[in-house]
Amino acid sequence: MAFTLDEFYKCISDLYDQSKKIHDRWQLIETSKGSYLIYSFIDNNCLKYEFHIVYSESYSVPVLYFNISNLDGSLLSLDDVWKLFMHKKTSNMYETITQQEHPILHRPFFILHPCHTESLLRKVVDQPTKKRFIFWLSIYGQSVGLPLSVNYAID
Amino acid sequence: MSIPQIDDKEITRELWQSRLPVRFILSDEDTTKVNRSESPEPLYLMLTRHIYFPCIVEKISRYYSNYFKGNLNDPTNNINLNNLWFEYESIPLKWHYPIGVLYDLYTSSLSTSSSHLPWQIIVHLSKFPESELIRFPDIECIESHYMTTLKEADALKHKGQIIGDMQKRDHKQLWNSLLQDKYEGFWNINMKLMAYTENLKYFRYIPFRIYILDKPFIQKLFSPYDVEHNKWLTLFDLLQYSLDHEVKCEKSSNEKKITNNNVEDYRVIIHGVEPPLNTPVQWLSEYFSHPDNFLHICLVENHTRR
Repeated sequence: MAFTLDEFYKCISDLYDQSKKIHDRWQLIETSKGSYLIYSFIDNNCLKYEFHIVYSESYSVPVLYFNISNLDGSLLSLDDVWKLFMHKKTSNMYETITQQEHPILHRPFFILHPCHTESLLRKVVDQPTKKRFIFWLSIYGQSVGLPLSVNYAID
Repeated sequence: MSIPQIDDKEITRELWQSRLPVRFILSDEDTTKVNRSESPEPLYLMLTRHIYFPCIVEKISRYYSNYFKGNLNDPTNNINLNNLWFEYESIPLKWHYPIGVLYDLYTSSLSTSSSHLPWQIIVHLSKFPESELIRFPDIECIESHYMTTLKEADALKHKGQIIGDMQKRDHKQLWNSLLQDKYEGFWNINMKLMAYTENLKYFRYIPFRIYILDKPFIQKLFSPYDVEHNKWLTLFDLLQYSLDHEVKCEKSSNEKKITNNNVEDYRVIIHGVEPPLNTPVQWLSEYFSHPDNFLHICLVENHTRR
């Protein structure tokens, strides 16, 4: 169900290769603290979205981090982000999105909490690693506005 | 872990009761905007080492709000109590780390004098460094940060099984006991998180973070027991493993600055104490962890020995 670090690296480098092929905008960043993917774009309301896919050793799963900024560079607050993606503020909101320290950059980023990722991935346990990764990314990504081309799901 | 000593529980009580006197002063820049004839006096508070600054921030902002009556809403001076943050020696304090960890790391690394008490911290009410610090607009945010860290610790120790099986009210009791300084209430629940699962006599991995000045913290997977050689691993083993791993990664990505991996060149501080390096790390995890169930280990490079 979970991903090993090597499986994760294979998944992100495959996604990166495929992104180049179809002229999408994923970037692969390699550092001494680990490798991760970045996807960024500016939407119609002039908000800049930046998504990072980072591996969590503690949970052995990929984790989605993101920041949203105005054109002047100022970051959206947690409240703004909640308003953007949720219809109303409920008490369990804190269990889904909060601001945390990025495990590689050590700067504040919003995070979609990984504690339910493993149980989600159990639904596709018999699928190959790459399929499970895309399954996770499409579900977690779309909840916070990350566009994912259907091409990634096609072999 | 082997046979628990009857007195070991007292150690957790001692750590729980550990306090730091802190002297807060307003930054020069914000002092010029004070709307009263006298400047604010320093504020003195006795703070629990293991809590977080956002837990007590309301007390501080209430104190300063008296000095800015009337001009708080004036957009030209940028003073805003929601923009409150703390600085020590020009470093914005990452207030999602426990107070005692920040104190141990920065005062031991930066100050040349032997006495740092009361710890003097500068309060800012403008220019929040949002690219460096997490915002905690309310107490729920720091509670959620605490719960997230606790869940991660349990993911490492027990694959999240214990915290997952707990009732919501147990989670609440942990947090409320922490805020209200209730040792018994906290440990009644925390004991469960210190249990073993899967027929092990130790945790799967030890939740720990290593802090060194000017570096991001180091966190690795480390099992407290060496099955192959049938022995308990020590604090020294954990540090050596982590620093070696760090150096290996830095070298393979050609970094300019390589971390010093000689454990003996560091002072090793947890909860303000320097535990012997031959302490089994499983014991440390059970008795010396912070309430978030992580061992927060500060390494202070000992320059004189270089």
